[in-house]
Amino acid sequence: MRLHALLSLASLLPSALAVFADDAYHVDYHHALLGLPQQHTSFFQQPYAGSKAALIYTLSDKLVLGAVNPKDGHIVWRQSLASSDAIKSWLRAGQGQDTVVAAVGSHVTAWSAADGRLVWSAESLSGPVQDLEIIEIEDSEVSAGPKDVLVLFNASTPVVSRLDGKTGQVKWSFEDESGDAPLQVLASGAGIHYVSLHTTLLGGLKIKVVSLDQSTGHKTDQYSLSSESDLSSVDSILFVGANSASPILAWTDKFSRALKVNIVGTKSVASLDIEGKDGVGIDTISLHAPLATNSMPHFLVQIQTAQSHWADVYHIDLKRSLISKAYSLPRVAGKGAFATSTVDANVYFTRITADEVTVVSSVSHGILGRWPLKATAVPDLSDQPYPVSAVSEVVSRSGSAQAVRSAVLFSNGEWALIRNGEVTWSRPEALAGVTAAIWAELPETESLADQLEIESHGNILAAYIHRVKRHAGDLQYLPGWLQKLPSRILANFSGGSTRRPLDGLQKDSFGFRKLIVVATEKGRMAALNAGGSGKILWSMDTVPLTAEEKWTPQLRTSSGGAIAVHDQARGLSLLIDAATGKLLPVDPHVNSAFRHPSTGAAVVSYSLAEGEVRAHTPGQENPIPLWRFLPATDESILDITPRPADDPVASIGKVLGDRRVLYKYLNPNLVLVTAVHRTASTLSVYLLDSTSGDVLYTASHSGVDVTRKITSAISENWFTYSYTLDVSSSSLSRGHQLVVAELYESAIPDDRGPLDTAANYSSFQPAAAPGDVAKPHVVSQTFQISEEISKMSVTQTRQGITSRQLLAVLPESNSIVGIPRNVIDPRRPVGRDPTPAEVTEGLVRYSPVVDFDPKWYLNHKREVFGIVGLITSPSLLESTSLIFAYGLDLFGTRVTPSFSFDVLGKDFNKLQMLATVVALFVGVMFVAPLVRRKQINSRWQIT
Amino acid sequence: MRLPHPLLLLSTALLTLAASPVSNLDLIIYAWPVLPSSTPTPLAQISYNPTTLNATLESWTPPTEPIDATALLRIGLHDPQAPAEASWTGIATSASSLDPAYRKKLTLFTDGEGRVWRVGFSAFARGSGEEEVLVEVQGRNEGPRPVLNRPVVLNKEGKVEGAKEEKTFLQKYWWAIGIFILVQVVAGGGGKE
Repeated sequence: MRLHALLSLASLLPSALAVFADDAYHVDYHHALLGLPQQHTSFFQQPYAGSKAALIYTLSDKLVLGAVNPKDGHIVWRQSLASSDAIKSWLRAGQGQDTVVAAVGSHVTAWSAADGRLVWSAESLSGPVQDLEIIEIEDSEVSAGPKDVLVLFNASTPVVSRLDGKTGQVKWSFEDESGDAPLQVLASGAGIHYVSLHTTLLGGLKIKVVSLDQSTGHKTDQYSLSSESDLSSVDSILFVGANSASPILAWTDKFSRALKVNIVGTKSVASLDIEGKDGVGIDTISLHAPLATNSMPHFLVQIQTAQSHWADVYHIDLKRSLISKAYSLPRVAGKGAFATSTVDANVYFTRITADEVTVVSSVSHGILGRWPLKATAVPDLSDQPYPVSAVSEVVSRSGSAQAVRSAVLFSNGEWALIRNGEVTWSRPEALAGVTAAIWAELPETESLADQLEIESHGNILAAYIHRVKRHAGDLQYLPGWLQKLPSRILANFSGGSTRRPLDGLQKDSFGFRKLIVVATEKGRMAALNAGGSGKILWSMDTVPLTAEEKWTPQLRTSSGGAIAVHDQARGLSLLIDAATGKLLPVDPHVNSAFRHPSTGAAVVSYSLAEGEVRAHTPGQENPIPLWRFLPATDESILDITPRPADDPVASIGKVLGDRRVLYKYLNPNLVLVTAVHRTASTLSVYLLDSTSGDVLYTASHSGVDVTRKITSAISENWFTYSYTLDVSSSSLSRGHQLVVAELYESAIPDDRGPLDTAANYSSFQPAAAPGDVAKPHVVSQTFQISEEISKMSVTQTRQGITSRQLLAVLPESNSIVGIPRNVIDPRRPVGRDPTPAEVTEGLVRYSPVVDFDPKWYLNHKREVFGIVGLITSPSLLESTSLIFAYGLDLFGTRVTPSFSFDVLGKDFNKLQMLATVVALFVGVMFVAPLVRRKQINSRWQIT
Repeated sequence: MRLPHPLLLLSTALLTLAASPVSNLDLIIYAWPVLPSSTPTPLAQISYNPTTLNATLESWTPPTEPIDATALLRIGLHDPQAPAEASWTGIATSASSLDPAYRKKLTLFTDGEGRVWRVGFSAFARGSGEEEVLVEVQGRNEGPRPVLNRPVVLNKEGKVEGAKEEKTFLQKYWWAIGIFILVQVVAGGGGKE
């Protein structure tokens, strides 16, 4: 018994794979992204009081809260706050505080600024958050702890609550029962104000300001501004100044001719003219004001037209409640971004245009510093990027700006830190939210295969001349090759060759250098170099989209290193060169038919549309419906998972311990359909033959939580799917389950079913053999797993000899695991120990729970957020499969499910091997004469 | 999957005729060619029992008009009241499958309530004396459940039923201690000279 256990343990050993410590961070690459930072939720801030260095905090449009180190652009910490009901988001930090407070949806959360740990969280049951502020100026009692938070909830009766900065407990609440639409809350030196909008009979909006007592929340004062004549929608309210010494309310009139500004606390409205300088319509007006309580009451109004932009700086006289224009900043062609920063009481405005960075003080128009802007790092094929928004930090000494660093979001989605005009780092935030990705081969100008093709088809003489010419042509590379030879040999012996970064676009002998073409939901496409640590090669805006639209194109490889992009919703068809990103002319005939990747034959095309699977006749101009699949009554299809078109299988059978063979059911046209019955909470899986539409296998699971992730994968002769059981399930177990099913030609070993060894088989034509041939024998088992799986995929290798791994994305722990195939083998014996024959097969006793071994985690110390897809690709090495995961983050690595049996490890010392050979040779040279003499002596001497 | 023995199928069909607790339901299976426009024509009429999952073929009317043997056919279900393009569900097969020289198998897939939601079809070589058309009903197939370990059951004394009581050290090794003492006693005598 014990021997068996030992043997079974031993059989498990090769599967106990892990990412080796010296491979981690070398074979994998990771773009940890945040999403596009928003201007109003990004700022520089010290992580704790007295800290010398500041971090950049941002809450992105993907609702990821992150702290970025301004020195190198690395993420210090990240938290995903994504929620379904979130429309707007807020992020605030009090001066000299060690927490940042974020509000998304109806949740308010405080996070430790230094390490991103949750400090407290508060949830409103009444409605979503409408505004969030930090009470900077404490009223009576001076508390040392974190400053309190002011939240406005947009419920049926809007509520203003003051939350304890330490615990998130409500200190007081003020309910507004007037029925007006809540707009914002203000916490400033002038007290707490609640701003709401009252709709008048004529449709205009009247701004109502309620003053609240800071310590009790009681209403102390209330007044309305007569804004109804020029304010008709919330969108024309530009700014409600928060936390500054003199909060202001600013809105534009209906024609964007004048800017109306009110100093909160007073009833007067100042009207400031906006001059249209070049006679063109104004696109946007934005207002930039300092947010520090002790800063000077100055603000800047930026006016952007299609051609140019300029700005006016205004000063507020607090004593007389007057607003006056101080100076104007000149008009500059193109688009620009302004950022406000404060040093003590001084306010500085940083202006970033497409070609320079300038800093001015709010007091006078004299330029304190000017730096020309150098181009951004990543080649962008679309238009010249321009700055969209920016946050800045200015170092000022004796009246002039010594240095300025700005985190600028460019129109191409690059978030860059510009320090004195130089790009210190740049983050490709445009790639956050990839919806489709595909592998592409490296371009080869003239592949050897093509040349040999020409030679084999010509007559002998022509082929000979061609070959001589080709060899002569190849001679030009000889000097270069000879030049590199010594360095290559040296690199080989020092073991450096495997560590050398692969950045070029030339093919490598291992096939690790491949391209990945990705498409983002914002209509952008980019290419990454999988061999060169995921470097972005090009990036371009492909499709213009509105803010709400999400782009989910289909990508397919086309001939000649091109990628075909299909967007059925827009009727768009593009052909893109994977290496350069250039658009190629589309040949309409090539793309219309789905073709088999290796044979080129037209195949039956099918798709999931309108809740059903439809297939059409192949290779025709006007395809005719061939078969149609609707799931059982009241079920709706979740997804279809086809067997990969290129899925090599090394062995057609599985050799059992007693030398008999179970033949695999290898149908290239398998497609797995998952469907759920939402009211009955059942999950059904259907295995179809995609040529005829025949149902080969069905299975139903009841008591399934249909709102959670249900995902499936299919490869070779097995498929798998996972789901979560709900509370009502009649099953004895609860939680997440993984089902694995294997398909065989027959249940009996050494039997191939009625079809036997027939070379051809048709899904349409009647079979010549007696018996129902098309149905596989299915062996399946269910395992209990510890975590939900959101996406599954299977590793692919060149010949399919290497055992496979099931790759699973675990969204709860932000990781990806590679589950060895033999752990989830459905033939594991249940309720008994394996027989000696089964042990030799590598089968171990079934245990209902599959724990994710820490060694299976492919992401090791990295955290991969928001993964929506996984793609795999074989490399030229049989042992190795390339993996790329996409979504919010981009993560790539390579795995060796059966170890790297076909490549020398890094620790293999070539020098030592050579030294051993040399030493042996020297030894032989030295010993050979001695031996020879001894042999001669032994024959001639008689002693 | 191996085919169930034909005799077995025949016997179940006979059983259906004998007694059925729930009344049998009728089902018409249609066939029509894969062409841009074609109307489904009845291929088979089947009477099946949704609870016992037995079915009998009432009539078999393959298309009479000669179809090109390489042409494709759709076989499936269709709601005669609704337009054919919208209401059908079915599979594709070759027209030559309907040749009387082949044996056909119609599989009716039923859901939990016994309603047929899909039809499967296959054709294969026909042995002499075998029926031309076989009908099989496939009900809802429950997916596998995890085989859980049995919980440990304790009796009234809080002990595992049937488990052997653990022997104490003395009970286990009394003989070794005995030998040791014996050796000590026997060998000890000669010590004093």
